[in-house]
Amino acid sequence: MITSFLRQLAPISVAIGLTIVCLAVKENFPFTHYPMYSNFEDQTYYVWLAGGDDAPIPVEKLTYNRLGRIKKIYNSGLQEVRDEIGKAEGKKPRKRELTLTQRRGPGDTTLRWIYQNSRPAAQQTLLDAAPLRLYQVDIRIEGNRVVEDPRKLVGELSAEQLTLSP
Amino acid sequence: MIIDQLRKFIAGCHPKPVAWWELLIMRTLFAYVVYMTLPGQGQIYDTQTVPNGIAQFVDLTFLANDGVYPALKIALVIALAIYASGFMLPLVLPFILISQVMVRTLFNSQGWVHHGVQMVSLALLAQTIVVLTFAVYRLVKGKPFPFTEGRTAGSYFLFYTQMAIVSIYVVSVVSKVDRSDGQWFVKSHYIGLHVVKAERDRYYGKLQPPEPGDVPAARLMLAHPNLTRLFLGAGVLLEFFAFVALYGRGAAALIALALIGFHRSIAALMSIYFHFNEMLLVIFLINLPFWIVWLAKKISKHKPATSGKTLPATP
Repeated sequence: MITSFLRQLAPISVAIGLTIVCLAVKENFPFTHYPMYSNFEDQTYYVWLAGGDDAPIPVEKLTYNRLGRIKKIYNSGLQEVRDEIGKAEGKKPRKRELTLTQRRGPGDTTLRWIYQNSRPAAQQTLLDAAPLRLYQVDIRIEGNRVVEDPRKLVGELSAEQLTLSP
Repeated sequence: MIIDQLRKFIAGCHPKPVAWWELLIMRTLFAYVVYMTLPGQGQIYDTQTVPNGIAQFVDLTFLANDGVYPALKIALVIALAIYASGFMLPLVLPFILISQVMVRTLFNSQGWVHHGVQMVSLALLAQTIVVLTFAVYRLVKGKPFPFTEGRTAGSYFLFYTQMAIVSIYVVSVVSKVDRSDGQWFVKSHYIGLHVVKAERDRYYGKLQPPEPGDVPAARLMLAHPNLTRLFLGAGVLLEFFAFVALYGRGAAALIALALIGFHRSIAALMSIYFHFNEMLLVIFLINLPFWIVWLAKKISKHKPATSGKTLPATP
C-alpha cells in the first residue's frame, strides 16, 4: 500500500521539485521565483524623462522602452551604489536614504542607456531635445490616500555626453 | 475523510490518454508562441552588463555578431515546423530549448529581468526532458516504453507541460509568503499605491490622457483595505490551487479560465501583461479543440433518428 501510494505521488513530486528549484535558483533564466509584488511597502517611486525645456518626453512611444524597464535599469544602478557604500562603510543604506548626489551616477547611466538602446531616428529626437533629464517622483501612502512628493532631478546629460562611450 | 479525498486527488493526477490530433494542434500553436518569444534584432544586445542564468558562464554576445541571429532564427523556424509535425522531437526540442534560452537569457542580462517568457521556456524544458527520457529508454532497453491504460508518450508530454505551467503559479505564492515574512495579505491593500504608479508610467510613457491626477481604482483600494485584501487574497488562493488543474481535463479548463481572468484583472489595474502565460493556459489547459469535438459527439449522440426506423434500446 505504501509503495502504491509513493508511486502515485511520483507525478506530483515532480511539480514539487520544480517549485523548489525555481525558489532556490531564483532569478536565473529560465527559472524565476516571481518576486514582483511579493512584498508591498507603503512607498515607491516612478521615473520619467524630460528634455531641456522640462517637458515630458513620451519615452515608450519614442524608444519602445517602457518606463518600468527604465526604472529597473535605474534601480540596478542604485543597488550598485548601495553595495559600494555598504562595502566602504560597513552598512548598506536603504534606497530611500540615498542622496541626490548618490543617485546622479545611476541617473546619468540610465539616460545613456535609453539613448544607446534607441533606434537612430529616436536617438536624433533625443539629441534634439537635450539636455535630457531623468526625474524621480516618490509616492507614498498617508492615511488612506496617496501623496506624491515634488519631482527630483536624478540625471542630466547633454547631447555631447549622451554620445560618449560608457 | 479529508485524507481519502487527498489520496483520491493525488491518484487522479497522472498522465491520461490524449488523441494525436490534440497534440498536433497544441504543438502547432505552441510552436507559434515560441517563435513570438524571439526578440527583434534590435533587442539582441552586444553586451551582457548584468549576466543572468547561463550568461554568467558563457558569453552570449556572439548572438549579436553579424548574421548569427538571422541564421539562428531561420534554423529555429525550420525546427519549430518539424516540432509541430511531431517528428524527430528528441532532436529538434533540445535545439529549440537551447536556442530560445540563450536568446532570452541575453535579453535578461541587461540590468533588468523580464518575467513574461519564463513559462514558455519551462514548458519547453519539461517537453525536452520527457522526449529525451523516452528516447533514452528506447536506446538502452532496445524497445519502446511499455505504456499502460491507453497512455502514450503524448500523454506524458502534455501532463508535464501542464505541470510546468501550474508550478509557476505555486512558486509565485510561496515567494509572496517568504518575501513578505507572512505579511503579504495584511499589506496587500498597498497595491493601491502601485496602481497609481502604473497609471503614472502609462501617462509619462506615452503622454496619453488622462493627465496625472486621481486614480479611482487606487482610491477605492486604499479606502476599503479589507475588501482589497479579500479580492487579492482570492487571487493568491487561485494561484496556490493551480495544481488542481492536473486532476483532469475539466479541472484544467476551469482553473485555466480562472487564471486568465486573474491575468486580465491585473492587466486592467496595473498594465502588467502576461500574454504568453495566457496563451499557454489556452493551448495546454483549456484545449478548446477537444471540447468542440466532445460537444459535437454529445450533440450527435442525442440527435433523434430521422429515418423512421425504431431507435435501438438504450444499453
